[in-house]
Amino acid sequence: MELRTSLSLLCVLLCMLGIQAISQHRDTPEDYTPGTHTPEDYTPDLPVFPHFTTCRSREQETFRCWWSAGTFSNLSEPGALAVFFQMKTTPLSDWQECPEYTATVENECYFNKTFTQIWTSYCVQLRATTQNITYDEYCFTVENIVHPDPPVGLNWTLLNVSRSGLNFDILVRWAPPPSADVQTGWMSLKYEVQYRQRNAFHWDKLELESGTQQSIYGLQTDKEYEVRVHCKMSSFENFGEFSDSIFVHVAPIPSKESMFPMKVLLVFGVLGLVILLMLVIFTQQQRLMVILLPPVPAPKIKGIDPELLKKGKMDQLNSLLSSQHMYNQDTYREDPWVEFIQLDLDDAGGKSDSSDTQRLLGLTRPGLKGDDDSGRASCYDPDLLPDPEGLLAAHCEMEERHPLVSESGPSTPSPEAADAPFFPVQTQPVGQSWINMDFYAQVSDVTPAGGVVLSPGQQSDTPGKNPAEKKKKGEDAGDEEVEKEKKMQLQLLVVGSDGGYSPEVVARQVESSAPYSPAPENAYHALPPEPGEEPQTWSGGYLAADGEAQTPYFLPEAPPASILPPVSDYTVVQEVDGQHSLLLNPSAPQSPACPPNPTKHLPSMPAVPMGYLTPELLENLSP
Amino acid sequence: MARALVLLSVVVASVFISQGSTSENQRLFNNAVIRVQHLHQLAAKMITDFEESLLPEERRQLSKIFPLSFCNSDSIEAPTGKDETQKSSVLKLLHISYRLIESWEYPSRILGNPNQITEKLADLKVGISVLIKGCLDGQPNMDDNESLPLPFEDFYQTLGDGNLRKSFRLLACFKKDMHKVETYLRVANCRRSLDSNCTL
Repeated sequence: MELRTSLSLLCVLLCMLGIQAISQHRDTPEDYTPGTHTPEDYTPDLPVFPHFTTCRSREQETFRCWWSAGTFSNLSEPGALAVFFQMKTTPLSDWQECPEYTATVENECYFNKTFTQIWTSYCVQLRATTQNITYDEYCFTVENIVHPDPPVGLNWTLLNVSRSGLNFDILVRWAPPPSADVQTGWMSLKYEVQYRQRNAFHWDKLELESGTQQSIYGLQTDKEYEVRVHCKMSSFENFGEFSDSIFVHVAPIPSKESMFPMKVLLVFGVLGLVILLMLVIFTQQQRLMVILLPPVPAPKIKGIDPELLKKGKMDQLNSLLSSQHMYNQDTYREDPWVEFIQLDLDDAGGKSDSSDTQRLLGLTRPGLKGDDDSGRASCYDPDLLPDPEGLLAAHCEMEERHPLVSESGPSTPSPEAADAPFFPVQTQPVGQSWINMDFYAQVSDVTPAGGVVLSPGQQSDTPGKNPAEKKKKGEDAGDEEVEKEKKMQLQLLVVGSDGGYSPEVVARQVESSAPYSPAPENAYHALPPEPGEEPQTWSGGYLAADGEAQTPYFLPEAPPASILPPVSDYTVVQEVDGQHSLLLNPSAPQSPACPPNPTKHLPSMPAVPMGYLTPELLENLSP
Repeated sequence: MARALVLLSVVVASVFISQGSTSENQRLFNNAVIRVQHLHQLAAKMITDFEESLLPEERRQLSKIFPLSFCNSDSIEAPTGKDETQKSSVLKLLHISYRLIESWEYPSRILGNPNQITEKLADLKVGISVLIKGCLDGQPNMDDNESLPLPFEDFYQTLGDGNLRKSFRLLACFKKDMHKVETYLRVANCRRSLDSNCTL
């Protein structure tokens, strides 16, 4: 049973194989695609019939056909098989046998020029000579089986090497195959160049080229390349054989080595720079912060500490001011016509003893009395005169001195007065005390800076309010004494003060028994500066300044004549401004009894910059 | 002396003029060759596209076309070998080319419009006629009496009816004829350029 089944299976198998073989035999004559005839692959076990392997033309003038006997070894003997061909011309030709069997090559049929017609269909058959069996048939047209010979003369030249030395370009040249007649135009060929690295498996292909040269770009210098070329007829698909390969190798340029240390240097240089920068930043952090982000100056009031002023500690203020060099006593001494009313320092303690009024009215001082000129109803000696500053409430008639005038006569020079800071004598409300007083000072001049020049009052009836200014300076005491002897003059400084302070009149009188120097002496009338001129914070006293320019708040700057209006004996006080300064109406002329003629004197006054203790100076002076 | 100079100048001028006309003729020839090469490329592409569109079993059918059915242009006498082609005169080659192109003018409409083959064939035909005139140089045209070949009976019926064999046959014939014309014109052009390599 099992034997039967196996035998039957074997039979079936054999039958199938036989059928397959027969069917193949049948199909082969008809299965040839034009120009694409490929040898059939059969397993060795199966019988392979004789067949055409291929037919090829090299130059479109001749062609050859090759066949194979297959597994039929008995047919491989020469002469056992024959090739017959037929040209499909309009009158069908007869089947002819192969015109020439190549002697040297086995199983090859060669068709020479005579038997080759282009653009004509051919059919070749492989027949057994002895029997009437056609094993194979193959039809084609000649131009479709053309496989050109390989190009010859392949060579290369170096085009350039890249800057990095890593890549290079070459130009590959070749010649067309000598068998192909390209010159007369019989054939037109297209070439294809292929290249690969020595050890690579895959070939890189370039575009088809009609000419006989091509450039290859982007090859690497340290690698060896293999280049080959083959060609085909244009508009056909059959490539010919490849040419012999050429080998391309370009040694790498040593500049590649020198690039490396350059890169290293560059990297290190950059790193060092970065580190340096960081160091600089970190060490100079503070400085950099200042430079980049400058501190915004806080609003700061130059000058005297406002706290000081609020507390009303004039002593300290005076000390501050007196400590300034501008209150130099020497300057006072030098300037003979600098006169000021000097307050007796002793009186400062004894203020409480007598009222200010009394002091104003009944002031009898030895020093004062000593002056012949003083107390005269006729005001004063014309020589003495130019005292444009009105003495505060100094009546000429009145013998008594101005209460604010503290006399420190030469006989009684109080060292303290000399050295001690000059305190403002009185702080009196402007209006009150003066109303009661039957005295007034004549404003003889108005400085351009707004200062009122008061002259010793001549008439008792005419009220004039002249706010006295504070004057301080202990340093001036010395000068005063000197000048007292020279002259007696009153200088009035109207001090513009802060809101909190009432102006104080400080007058100093210097008695001077010495002949009066006609020079215009007093020039002090430091009126509060025009609104706007003076810093608001200024609340200090004035110094009776000398004529020096350093004293900013002394003396009018401009030529007085041009500035000052025509001055009469009395000037009506127009108003008092916010800075407690008198604004006088210079256009009210009155007949003065003994009016000083300030205009006379004024021009002779040296042009000294008029000013006050400016904040800048204060700032400089203050510690 | 003056006459000799005048004569010399006339000769030189004529040479230049002829060279000018020759160069113009050469340019026309080159142009014609380029055009026919382009047509040949088109034909090859059309066949490739056609084969790719076939199913595998259809491809096997296609292989049975060969032996190739006859083309319409088989009736036109044309050289079939290199020697024969090179022995033919330029004028003869031009005439043959002209006839071949002309025979495809009408059927090319069936081949498809996207490539505008008909227009290109028409242009080429005009160009070849100009070349022929240039070649004749006043000589009478001896080939006028030849008439167009008669088409096959079913040659044009096949197209468009889905018959693979006949469609393929049409395309194959077209490509073959284009290759013929290209070869003829190329050879004629070389011959015309008076290059020593072109002559036998």
